[in-house]
Amino acid sequence: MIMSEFQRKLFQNKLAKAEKSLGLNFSEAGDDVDKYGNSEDSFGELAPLPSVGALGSHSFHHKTRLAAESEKVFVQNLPKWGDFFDCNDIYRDPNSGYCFQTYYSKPIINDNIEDINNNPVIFISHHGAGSSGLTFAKLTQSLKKQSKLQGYNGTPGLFTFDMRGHGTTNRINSTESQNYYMSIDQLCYDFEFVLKQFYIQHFSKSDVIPSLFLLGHSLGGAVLTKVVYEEQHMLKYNRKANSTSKRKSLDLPLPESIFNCIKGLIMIDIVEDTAVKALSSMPAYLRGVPKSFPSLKSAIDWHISSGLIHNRKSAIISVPPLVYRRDKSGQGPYYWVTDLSKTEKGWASWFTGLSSNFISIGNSVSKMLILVNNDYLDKDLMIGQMQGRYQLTVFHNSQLQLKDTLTTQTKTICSEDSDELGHFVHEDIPDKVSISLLEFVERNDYEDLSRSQNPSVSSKIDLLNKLNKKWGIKK
Amino acid sequence: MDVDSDVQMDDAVDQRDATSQAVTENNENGMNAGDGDAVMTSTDSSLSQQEDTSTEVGKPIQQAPISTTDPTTKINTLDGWIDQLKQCKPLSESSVKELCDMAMEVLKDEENVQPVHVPVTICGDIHGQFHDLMELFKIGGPCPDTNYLFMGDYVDRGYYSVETVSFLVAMKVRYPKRITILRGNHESRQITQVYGFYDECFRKYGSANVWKMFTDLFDYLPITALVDNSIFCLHGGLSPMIETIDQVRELNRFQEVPHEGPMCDLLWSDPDDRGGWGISPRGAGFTFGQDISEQFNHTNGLSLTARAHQLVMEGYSWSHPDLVVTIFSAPNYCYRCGNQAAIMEVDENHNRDFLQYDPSIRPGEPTVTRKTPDYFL
Repeated sequence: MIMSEFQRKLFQNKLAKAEKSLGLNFSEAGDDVDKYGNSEDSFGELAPLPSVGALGSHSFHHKTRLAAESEKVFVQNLPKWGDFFDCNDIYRDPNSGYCFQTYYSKPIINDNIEDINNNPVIFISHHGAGSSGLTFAKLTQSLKKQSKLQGYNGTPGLFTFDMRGHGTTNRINSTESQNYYMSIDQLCYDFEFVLKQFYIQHFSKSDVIPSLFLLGHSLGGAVLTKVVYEEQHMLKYNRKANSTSKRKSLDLPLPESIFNCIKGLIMIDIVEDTAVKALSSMPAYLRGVPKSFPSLKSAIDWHISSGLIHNRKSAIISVPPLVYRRDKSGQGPYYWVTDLSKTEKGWASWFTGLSSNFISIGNSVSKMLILVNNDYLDKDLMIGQMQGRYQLTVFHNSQLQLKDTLTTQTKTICSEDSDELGHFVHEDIPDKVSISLLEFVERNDYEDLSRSQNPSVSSKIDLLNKLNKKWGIKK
Repeated sequence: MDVDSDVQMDDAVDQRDATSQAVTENNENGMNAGDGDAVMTSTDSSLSQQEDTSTEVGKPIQQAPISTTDPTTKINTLDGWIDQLKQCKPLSESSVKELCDMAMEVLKDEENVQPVHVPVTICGDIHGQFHDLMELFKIGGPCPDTNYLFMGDYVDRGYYSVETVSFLVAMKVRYPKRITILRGNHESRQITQVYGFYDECFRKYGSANVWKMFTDLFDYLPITALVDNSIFCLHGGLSPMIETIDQVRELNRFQEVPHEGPMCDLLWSDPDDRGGWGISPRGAGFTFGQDISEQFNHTNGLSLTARAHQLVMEGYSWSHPDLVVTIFSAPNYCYRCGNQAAIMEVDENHNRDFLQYDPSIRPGEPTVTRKTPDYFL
């Protein structure tokens, strides 16, 4: 009795879902967010479109064909990686044969500024679990836009890649075991390999020494922190003497020449304590996520309606690499590229020691932590922050109606930022985040990115030198 | 005796006389002049007082409107507010408004470098840890018997920023010569929006009005103090733009804390092991080395620069090696850091003594229930 009712409901759901997806495909309205997000969530686990075909209705076939057509048009009109980046090379690790999809937007240096030892600033970015390198696409664009608008003398580059098991990297490596071998040490090794390749490809044959700023979102921040901490630690205590490193077998340390280019480390929305606590609810969360999407548009819509991403302009470039069609004929539903539940083995290792490592990183690498809405620092980060060991930037929902009460000068910025923000803050408010990044570089890298507001002072380090001179301090 | 001028001008000995006199008069006349009396006689609030002694966060108690034109009433009002705040009960919005207006009158005449005399007890960050502030007064002695100098950061992070800052401001207005309150980097509109004071005001009063009143008042707080021309006290540290204390006197402090420049540096800078001036990892202010401290103390004839701003596990810490002292007065900062707190007593002969203390024992600290993010990979 109950079963048959359940089955009928199941069938109705399938039907409803099919209709929804068709209706969706017919409506070419564009940017409107559809309001069916909730039902999409709950029906996500049910088998989608193909079973509907079994109904055998002629008009249904017709509609499906139309749907496929409009999906094709929708996909064609989506932005591509080339709209944001200059190169998309694939780096192959000769040891394992594993390949990484990379993206690079080159720095632009204004040649008309002389006397300044202009080294290009490049952000080396690492996305988090379940995301892809194109999560930084919109940020890359904003960095270009804002460095012009804010009057900087150059535009930083941004290099990123799809990490192991994610995005295109997952798709170009066929072995599942390699795709899901995601211990933190492996991820650190991967990053060092990719960074080294990047450096060799673009800088080994020139005199140019770049200033690198590592930028990690979520798990990416944990990887980058571990890399910097361990490299610095090994440099300090002599690499050879260090036999305790768990990564010994994998050890491919960055050459000192590359490591010395690293001037800054920025973590976006990751706190050890909170991350570890959130992990316990991850399996339940993942079970609640739709298993597939009838169309690419519905996948994008889901990311918006579920509140994961608040900026549609970013989601249309960052979401497509996360899903794929199993059916090679270009039909059928989209499934997740990365099955996050298969990464569970690595979870325990991902964040352990993150906070204490982060605050222990020495002054040669400047640090910033970007958080969203709350300063939920754990003990180590709180002590570090209250001792002034790193810069903390907290972005608030602008829903907090403060615009009227603020009497300070507020910068008006040309922005496509969303009013709401969450974990993917660099996608939600790329303009505000990029301004923070530019100011962080300007402040800490001194020479390579500056605004010529005061003609007698060319950069922060120049200012600092002049101040020290004034005080009779010899450096 | 002109009671009003006592509140504004004279020292606390007279003030106490005035207080007892006022209370006596009050009792004799049987008039219900003070706000505190209004609290005690109100059935609702006295009930809630009995029941709520362990309740930490209360809605502000509605007070009867009072007149501040009569000096006796004014002292009673202040004492009533202070009594109420001592129980960690926030004032009504209208009382906060009156308090802030009174405080502006007092603070507007204080100097950028407010002169202070020994003996005085110098304190660092409090950050809304109200019960620890009460502990501080137990350890250091009650005000006004003991003179106090607070070096800023009264609000944010702790759960009782409203009560803490209300209490200190009320004490300042009541005993203006006995207590000095400087501005910290958290006494700012921008910072308080992020680190809790704004939200707390909104939660306790249902609007941002009280936040607006206090942050407007913060613009009036002095930014440094000078104890008997010998100990320079401020929240953060030195500025490369400031070589002499006279240059601090020339600043216009009546503004929001700027993002850069000398006023910003004084509230943000930190001493450092590295020499000279350096970029601060905080993102504001500078770091300064021993060579800078030597020069500054020498140029200005100082024996010591006392500052707060940094958490130090023992509650106080020497730098450069004894030219700068950091004092931090919020034990177990933000209920998780496990640090001791300290205050520094300076006696008539300029002898210094540090008093350390641990978190106060208090009933039922509200547990922090933060929403764990769904997605943290």
